[in-house]
Amino acid sequence: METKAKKMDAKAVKNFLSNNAIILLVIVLALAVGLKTNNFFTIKNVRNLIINMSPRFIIACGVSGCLITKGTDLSAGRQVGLAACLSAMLLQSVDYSARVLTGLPDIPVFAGMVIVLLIMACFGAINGCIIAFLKVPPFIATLGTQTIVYGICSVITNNQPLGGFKSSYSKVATGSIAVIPYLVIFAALVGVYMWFLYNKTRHGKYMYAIGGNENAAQVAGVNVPATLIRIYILASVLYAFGGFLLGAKAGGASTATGFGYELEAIAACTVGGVSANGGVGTIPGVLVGVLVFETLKICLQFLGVDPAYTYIAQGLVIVLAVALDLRKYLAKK
Amino acid sequence: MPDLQQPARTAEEQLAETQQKLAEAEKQLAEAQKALQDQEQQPGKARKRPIEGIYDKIDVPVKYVDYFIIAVLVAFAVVVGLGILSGKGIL
Repeated sequence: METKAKKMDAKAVKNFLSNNAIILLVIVLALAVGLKTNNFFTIKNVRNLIINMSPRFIIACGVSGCLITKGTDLSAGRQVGLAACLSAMLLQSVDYSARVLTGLPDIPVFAGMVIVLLIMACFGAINGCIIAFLKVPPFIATLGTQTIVYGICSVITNNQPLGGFKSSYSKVATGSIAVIPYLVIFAALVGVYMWFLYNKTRHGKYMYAIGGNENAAQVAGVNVPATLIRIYILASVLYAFGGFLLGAKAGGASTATGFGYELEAIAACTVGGVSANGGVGTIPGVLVGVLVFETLKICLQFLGVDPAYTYIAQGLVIVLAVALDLRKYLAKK
Repeated sequence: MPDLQQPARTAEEQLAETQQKLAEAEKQLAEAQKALQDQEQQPGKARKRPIEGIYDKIDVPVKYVDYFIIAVLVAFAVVVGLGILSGKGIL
């Protein structure tokens, strides 16, 4: 009896470790870095971490919907880049000498943001239609869109970096209410909205139903194509919003903006418990995933790891996240 | 005599009628099956989505995945170590 209880305990510990391996790894790493360096556990560093997290969390929220429905979105990073470039073009200062759209009158920041969101929603609709109606695997469909979006971005910017933003646009990233930066407030609002959407609406239930078993969902009366299109449009709108904020934060945009963000977002989602096999995932989980991934990056910086090696380490964490997700699936099977 | 032959004829007629109905039902069933087959063969209608879950076809023992996870963790530690050395200019 005692042996059985011990076996059960050992199994529970093993499951806990495998389910939270990356989170535990990063906590250990953060503690080690915190003990080794003096300025790791400081308010300034935590503030930087949260500010860096904000646009990435918004982007990861978009990717999470695609992953929950057994899809993916490889165009996320490039869409972020295009959104940042569009925002930059629309919101350059009128008196900036190298202004791209010289004939464009001064437009309010909010109007510029809405225009960018609407344009990017079209790309989401295209992705959704290709996946839902043409039944093209999301991996292939979004890989194609990724290249198209990058090409469009190169054409409209002429491969030149864009800068000279008007102050009201830059203030979107630099401003704060009391001690809370605007970026954090925007991310929190998106998080609350997405949580509500996933847990309290019919759309959220349809999304999980499609991820669980698409054929069963269809038989049960779920309009699968419409739901998929909505998911990909929403994802693109979130990438656009993330790109808009990222442009303001960086103070400039180029075709390189957003490069690799899709993999970071997918990795953060996987670390946060969104299964690449579909049907599973929560917004708090995505938040934890983004936090873990950003903490890892900061830890590696503080440890003085060569930036080239940092990419290898991040890639290994992505592989680890997928392997752990696969392990969970195989253990249940 | 006619009274005796009447029920027998009625029974035969009923049997023939039932057989005819059965044949019609079988014919209808065959038509429905054919229509269903045609519908399944049409692209984009009843066809399954190409990705039905990326892990569905993976059939690897869990212990091998565990070994792989350990290998990745070791590789991560090695990369971080090498990165620190490279950052310090030792490598």
